[in-house]
Order: sequence, then structure tokens, then C-alpha cells
Amino acid sequence: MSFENFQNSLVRKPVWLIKIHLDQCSHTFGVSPCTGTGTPCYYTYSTCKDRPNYEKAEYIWKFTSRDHQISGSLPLVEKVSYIPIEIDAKYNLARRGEMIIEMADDHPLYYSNPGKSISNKELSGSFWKNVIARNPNYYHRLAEVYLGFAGLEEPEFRLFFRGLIEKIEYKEFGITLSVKDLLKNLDKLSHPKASDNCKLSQDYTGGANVKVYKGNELLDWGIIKSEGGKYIKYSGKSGPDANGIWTLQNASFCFGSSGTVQQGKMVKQVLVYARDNSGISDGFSIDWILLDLICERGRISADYLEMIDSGATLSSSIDADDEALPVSDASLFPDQGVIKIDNELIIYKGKNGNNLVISGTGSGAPVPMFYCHFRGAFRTTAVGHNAGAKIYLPRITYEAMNWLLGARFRAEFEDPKKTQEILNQICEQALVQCWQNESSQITFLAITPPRPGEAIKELNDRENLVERTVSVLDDRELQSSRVIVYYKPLEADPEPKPGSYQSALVEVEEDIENENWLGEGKPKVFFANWIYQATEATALASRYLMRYKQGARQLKFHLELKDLDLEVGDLFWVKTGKILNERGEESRLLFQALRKQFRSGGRIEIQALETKLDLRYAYIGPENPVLNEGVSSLATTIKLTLTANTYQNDDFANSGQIQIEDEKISYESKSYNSQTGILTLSGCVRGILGTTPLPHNAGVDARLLYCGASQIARDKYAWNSDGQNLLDDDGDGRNELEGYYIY
Amino acid sequence: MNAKPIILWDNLLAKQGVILSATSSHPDHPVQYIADWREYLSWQAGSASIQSIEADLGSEGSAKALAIYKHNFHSAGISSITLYGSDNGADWIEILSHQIETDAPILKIFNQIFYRYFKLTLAQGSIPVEIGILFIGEYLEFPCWPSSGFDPDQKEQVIEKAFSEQGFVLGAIERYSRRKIQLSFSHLTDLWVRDYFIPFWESHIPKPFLFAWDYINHSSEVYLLEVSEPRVSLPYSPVFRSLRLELEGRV
Repeated sequence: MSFENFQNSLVRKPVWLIKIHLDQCSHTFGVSPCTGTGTPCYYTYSTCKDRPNYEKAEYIWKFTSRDHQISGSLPLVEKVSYIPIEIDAKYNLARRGEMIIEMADDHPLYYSNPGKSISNKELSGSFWKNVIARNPNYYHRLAEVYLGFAGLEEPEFRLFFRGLIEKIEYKEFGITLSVKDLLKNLDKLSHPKASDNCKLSQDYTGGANVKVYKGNELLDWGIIKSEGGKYIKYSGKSGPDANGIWTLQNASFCFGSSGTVQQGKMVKQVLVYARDNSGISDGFSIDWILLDLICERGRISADYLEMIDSGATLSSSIDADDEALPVSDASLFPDQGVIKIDNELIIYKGKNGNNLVISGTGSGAPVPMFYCHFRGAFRTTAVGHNAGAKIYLPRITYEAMNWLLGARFRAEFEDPKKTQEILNQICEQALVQCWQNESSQITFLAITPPRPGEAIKELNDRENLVERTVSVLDDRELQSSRVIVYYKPLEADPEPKPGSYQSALVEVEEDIENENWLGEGKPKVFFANWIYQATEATALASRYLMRYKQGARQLKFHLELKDLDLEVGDLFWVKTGKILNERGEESRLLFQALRKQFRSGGRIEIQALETKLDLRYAYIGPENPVLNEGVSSLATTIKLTLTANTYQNDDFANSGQIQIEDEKISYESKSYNSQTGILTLSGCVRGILGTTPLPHNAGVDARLLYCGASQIARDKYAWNSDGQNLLDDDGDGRNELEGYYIY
Repeated sequence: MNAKPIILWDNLLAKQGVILSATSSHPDHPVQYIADWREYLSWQAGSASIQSIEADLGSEGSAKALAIYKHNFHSAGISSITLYGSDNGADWIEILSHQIETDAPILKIFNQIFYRYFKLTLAQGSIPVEIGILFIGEYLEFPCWPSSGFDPDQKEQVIEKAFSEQGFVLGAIERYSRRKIQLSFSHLTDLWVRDYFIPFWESHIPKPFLFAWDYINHSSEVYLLEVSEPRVSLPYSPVFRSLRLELEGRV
């Protein structure tokens, strides 16, 4: 019987299985290479008698509910409770989860170290007292909580929570074990703060080595900023020499800095998320930033990131240092991004045919970015991979590709901050949620409607909602009628005040603010230190307003164990007699689960937020194609370059309308050359709908208007309109707000 | 004819100083676990080949019963087991042999014997064999049958159901399930209480023990139980003494 069989049975008995991973030396006491003699150690570092030969491995202790037995486990679990992982309804930020497990104590086992051929016999103490005494370094070791049912084989148990041991407290006849989720690592500081004594020991003029005092206060690779504001990047560190001087290796000026940084000038580590242009100008896609924060700053293993199968494979084998990755179908990947092959994360800078490339520029624009490891990125190890190996995309890359394509963010941090604080900033400003899911993988979700064809669970009063548990909360605090986004910060670490920003954008929902509705403005202010372009600011404001302009109802209810599969972050439809429309009928509304907690009797309490995402909203769609060659204001033939990431030939109607810069243009026919990827629009009438014919340069965007879109494109991308189709149904293309909002 | 209830508590293998050994053992499941009353600790052989477990008691011990609780003999493909005794650890005398038909507990009662060494051999199987508790020793037999109302199949189960808003059953979970056996005896002699029951109580409780309510007709109905509330009360009324025990264990 599988987990699902038990879950869907009418009567079943839930059982918890806890696994605790504690350190244990891989060697055997007194057996080479261990030179320990006398009474055996307990195979922990603190009891080791030959520390130079101590080799860290682990022993997994298993525990089950007290009245249940699984071979090899100790039935000591008395109570499992937890603070659930929760997405905050107002800020879209995840609150971390924590499991609290109470276990009984018992007599010790016969041998102190099961599985070891040489082990002490237990003569005194108790099981937990002895374990705690021998493992003083249990802090931040891994613990896992599995859920299963009586009668279910252990391999079928389902991982429910994975986290790090925070503390083990001994209470009377038992212990309380606290386990926090993996994102707890984001409490680490983003980068080290160097002291005032971290100074150049000699002038730096752009060479490969930077000589500094107190180099131990700096990271092994990264970016430093001198007094006077010059940036230097480096990718290695050695020292100190006899004079206490450290060498930062493979160094060069970056972000347009040049000249000389004089001996004695202080330097400090800075964190800069921006391309290495002449100045800090262009930013990165959100996936790069979040992966760096989680894996580099938070030191969370990439093994715990949720991955999506890209559908592509390596078309031939590669070595650990290859910088061109031949793939079966490069169109499945964004122009730049992150992929995972086997256990290695790889950052690629561009695409060249069916190759993802690290060196050079590929077919796209140059990518002047600094990062120490493109192969073996984010603390993974660069290794060779075989032809046919599957290529995965981190979930955040997948989300960015679908919903935030082209959106870029940049920021500079001089003072160290909690990594969590930085992550919260960018998640809030990009409207992305990040949390540890029930498979204990770190996952990401752009706040967007369901994808076409995506299976959405539907809950109702008959089959799902437990009696007398449904309540509806209309939290006025969640309502915002206008959004103000201050963006383009004037300095690193900007203060949250308007004067720290160069630009501001205001989106107002006048219909909500007038006296027939609110009669006042309810503003939501973002000090968007990551946003530097109007497009991202507009996207944030319009998407936020769409979700919260009428407030957002929250629903709380219980589900039975059979509906266990509804997870935090999931979208679901609900139809209940507790929420009626103006005609007194039950409405089918889209909610997102924000909180999930086990209650007694196998019930699961869900707290959810109405998404409003079934209505029309600003949409970040495929990239715009660009003009293949410049056109005069009189040209009647226009050639567009289509790529895997732009609208495709099928998205263009046989005759329709496009917009280039401020000019709207109609065309009579089209032809497409699949070899070159060029779409030719013929019979163009320039300057329609009150616009003026203008010359346009090669490379500028050509925007596809709704009235120029084929039925395929309308079906594919217009699904988020409501029943009245508020999109541009009159076809005049006069107001782009009626058509697509394309970034 | 029914047998009277017995309690198997005085396990020779669990006594201080006994040396236990086995042909092979899984490193996580040493042979010492066969004498540990904790049900979740079991011995597991290191291979599926013929196995034997030997006990050197250090001095002669008396036994009238063999019990094997929580084993996988049938699942492991073992056809038979044999119990031997020896005074010198070299010359073995067969005490009993038993053909395996199920994984149910085994209880064999025999005439009192005295040996320093005991050996249980297990025929070759297909997978490594496991034993939860191996009991060799004497037992406490109640001198009379339990009073009326005794139910050997009594269980306590708590089930919680959930109904939907429209009143349909969505599912149920079992919160709790325990075997509960209530024993009461009303004609116990003072001599039996003093010579047999109180020594058992003082030497063994609150540890668990094996309980067989009718080893003649239901020899596989052997349960590992413990006293629910370890409080003894043996009032006189007026000549005989009476006893009420509430026992519980896993189902």
C-alpha cells in the first residue's frame, strides 16, 4: 500500500517518523587510520582520541510515535507540534517554520554506537542524557520529520519537514527537540564588515594583486570598495606574509573605476548586484540574485533548491572546465541564466545556437558580469557530465523565465545586513515568494495567476471543508488604493525616505478612492532599493494594486487528512456557502494557501488569501521581437527578429497591428523564414490611430498589440481577462492599457 | 480443559552475568536485545544461514517454558527451531523441537529442567531472522481461573471522524489503540500470594512481561503487557485474598 492509499482510506492511523543526523566518525576505533587506544571513544569529535584522523560522517537516529514500531527506530516520540511555515498576507514574505518534538527518555541501548563493531557497552546514564553528553556539537545538524501511517513501509513515508537542530533541552524523563527550517541560515550576515585597519599596504593601479593589511577580514573572493569609492574585484586570497600583508589575487578595477588607490586607504567588502559596466548601471535577473543570497550568503546547499526539468539534455559530454554546453534544445532556456546538471549549478552568460556559453558573449549582448564561479556556481562543485544528462532549471529561474523575463534588479550593500533582510527586500519588490515547501525544498513563486492548463484543486462544502470550521476575514488593513514606488536609489544602502531615491511612480485606483467607495486614499509605499527602471516599478505598482485595491478576503477552514496535498503557496478554487455573490449564489473564488497547520483529529487548518488573480492585470509576457533592420518613416515592409524568448510567428495574426516606439502600424500580410527567424510584415500603413510615422533603428522593440495578435496568442495570453473580456475587444489598439502590458 | 493464566517474567537470559552469543548479528541489532523487555529492540542475524543463540548462565538455572515473542521465522523461511540444554557447553541435550507455521508468538511449556547452558538453533532461512524477546525460565501461574467478565480480546480504540459542511463523512483517524485486559481473582490463598505473586511484583514491576491466558488451547495468544497502574491491592475477604489487575499493551 502506498502513502496515497492510506491517505485516501476512510480510517487510518497517522505516524510520525523523526530522523536525526548526528556526527559520527567513519573509522573504527583502534583500526587504521585511527590510532586511538584504551577505552573506545564514542565516535564523536568531542570524545575522539585521535582527532587528526577523525573523519566526519553521520549516524541517523530514527524515532517513531510511542505506540508504533518501525525496524531500527526507537518509539520515543510523544508529541510533534510546530510553528508552521507561513506566507505573510501583507508583505508576501515567508515566515519560517519550526518543529518542536517531545521525546521520552529510556534506558540506554546495549551498545553506545549501534553499527560499530567496536563500541562501549552502556553501563549507566540514560539514552538521551548519554547522547547529549557525547554530541555537544548537535547544533545545526540536520533533522527530518516524516509522516506515514500504521502499516506503511518506512520508504513510503513522506518527508514533511527538514530543518536544522536549534536546541535539545532535557526535561524530566525526556527531551524537547527544536528544529528550524533551512532558511534559518539566512540569519547569517550578507558579507563581513572589515575593520578600519583593513588598508592597502601599497598603491593599487589596476594590477593582478592587491596588497592589504587585515585581509583575513575579507571574503576569499568578491568586491572591495576603497575610501574614495573605487571598486576592485578579486577572485583569490593568500597570506599573510611575514609583515602581515595579504594578497588579493586576480584583481582588477570594476564598475568603471580606474586610476590609483593609494597606500593606506581603507577598503571594505561590499556586495554589489550589478553588471560590471562603466559604473553600476545594469542589474541582474532575479534568479541570479536569489540563488546567490541563499547559497552563497546563507550557505544553504543547492541540493535543497527546488528544480524543474527543463526538458533538454546535454547533447554531448562536457568536462569540468568546459565553457560551452551543448544542449538538445537551447530554446528551452532564457538568454542568460542558471542550470543544474547532476549536482552542479552552472551560470551561463549567453546562447550560441544550441550551446549555452560561459565565455564569450554568445548571440546576445555582452555580459560584463563578475562572478567567481560560473562552473560549480553557488557552492557546488564543477565536474564533468555525460551526454544525455538531464538539465534542470532552478524553480526561481523557471518563474523568472515565465513571469519576469527581462526584469532586472540591482543593489549595492556597503554595510553587512542579515541575508534574510536583503532577501525580503527583493522578494517584496519583485512580488516573489520564497519559502521551504513540504518536500523541504526551497521554492519560489511569482505572484501570478495559474498557468493555462495548470491543475488547480477545487474545494467545496460537500467534499472538503470540515463542518463548522469555515470563517471569512475581510481585513481592511490589506486594502491599498494607491501605490507609490520610490526607485532608482541615489546611494548604496539607501534610507527608507523619498530623498534617497531619484524617481517615484504613483499608481492610483481612482474608482476605489472616490466618495462612492473609500472616500480616501489608502497608500502603500515601497522604497524600492532594488528597482532602477520604470518598467519594474510599474509592474510592482500595478500588480500590487490589482491584488489589494479592493482588499483581500482571508479564509480559514479545516480539511481532512485526505486533502493533505494542499500545500502552502498553492492556488485553489473554493466554493462555499460562507461567501456569496450579490445574487446570493456561491461564488467560485481563487485563493492562495498561506498557512497550513495540523490540528487534532487529523485535521489540517488552512489560512488562505483571495488572490484576485482571475481578473485582468498587468502581465509580463514574452520578450518583444526587435527590428531586424532600421526603417524609414515611409517603409511599408518591416522585418522583425524572432527568438525563442519572443512572441512567435503563430502569435501574430495574418494581418494586424504592431507598435514601434510611439508609432502604431498596421500590416496586411506576413511571411516567416524559420531558418533565419525573420518575420516580414508587408503592406504596412504607418502612423495609424493618430500616431506619427517615424524612422526606427534596428534593434528597437516591436510590440505586439492585442488587436494584432492571432487567436492562438489571444487564447494563450488573454486567459486572464474576465468574462466581459476587458481587453481591447474593439480592436482599435488606441489605448495600450486595454491591450497587453508588455515589459 | 483450559489452562490457567500465566505470567512469564523471570527470564534466565535477562539475569545479571549471563553471556549471550549468536552465530552472527547485524551490527545495529546485537543478540543482547533478545533479553531486553523493550519490544522495539530486537536481535537480527547477520545472515540467512543456520543460526544458533547460546546462553551461559554462569550457574545452573531452572526452566519450565520457552517463549519467543515478535519473530519473523515463518517470513524468513525457517522450518524449525530446536532448544538444547547443557551442563558443560559441549554436550547438548535436546529439550524440544518446534515446526514453524506462522510468525505468531511461540510458547512451549515443559517439565522443569536445570542447565547452565542453553542453545536455540534456527534452521536456514531465506532472509536474516529476527527475535524480539526470547524467554527461557519459569513462570507465574495463577492458581485459579479469572472471575467472570474476563475478556482476552479487549481493546480500547479511539477514532475521530470529520464531517463536511454538508454532513458527509470525510475520513477518520485512529488516535489510540491499546490492548486492555482486566484480570480479577477472588480465591487466592495467602500462601500463593506471599510465595509467588509478591516476589514477582517486587522483582519485576513496572517492567513488562509476557502473558498467556490459556497456553493449552491458545498457545499463540501471548501478549507483551504491563500493569496499567502499578499499584497492588490484595484484600482478604475474609479467608481468601482477591486481586484486580489491569494490563495493557500494544495491539
